[in-house]
Amino acid sequence: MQALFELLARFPQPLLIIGGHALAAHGVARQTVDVDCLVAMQSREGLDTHLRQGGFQSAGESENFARYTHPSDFISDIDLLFVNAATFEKLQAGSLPLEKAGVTLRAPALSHLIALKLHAIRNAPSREVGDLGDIARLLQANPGAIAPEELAALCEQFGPPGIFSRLEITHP
Amino acid sequence: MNLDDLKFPDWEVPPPRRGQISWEGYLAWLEENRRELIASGKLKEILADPRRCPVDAPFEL
Repeated sequence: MQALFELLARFPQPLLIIGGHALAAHGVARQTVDVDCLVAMQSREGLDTHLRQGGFQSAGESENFARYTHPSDFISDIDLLFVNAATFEKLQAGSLPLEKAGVTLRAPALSHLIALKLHAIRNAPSREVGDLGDIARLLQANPGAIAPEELAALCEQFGPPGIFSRLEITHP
Repeated sequence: MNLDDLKFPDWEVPPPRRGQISWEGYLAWLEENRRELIASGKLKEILADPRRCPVDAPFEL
């Protein structure tokens, strides 16, 4: 795990840790078997080269997503989500550090992480149980950090219809 | 629905207690769990779980 994060930290362009690992930046821990990263689209080719040089191989890609695996079971898959430069700048501006033994990466701000999870639920409904649970736990671990009006706006902008009501029941 | 109804998948184990989480401690906990998943043969099953499906729709702020 340490080697994987050192590899990511050595990439010369900025990237953000999202997904399960990013929850830890906001006081929530849950099991995960991969490492999710968000990068600007213009870093895609360079990061592909960087990960291949680090021993990873492509396990599939699409317009906004790519997955990399490592031959060792002990090293997690890496999933990449690509965004445009303007979006990346906003996410990076609000990000906060994740640090371990000299390796510093960054994770999105709480509201941005929730927006990403709402976006995932909207576009992949099978993820709702897991991602709704993550959002509920983030809210529970950070009371008052997101005002109800802000949460409603995030749900409206990024989530599927009715998600705010389901979150209100989960996290009144 | 309430928080207690949001079950972890059966391969998950209870996470560290809230308030005691450092990223370093979290990673150590994940590594320990991954070793157990490999030993039990469950890792491949988890990696094939359809809930890991990628989200390809563009995300914009």
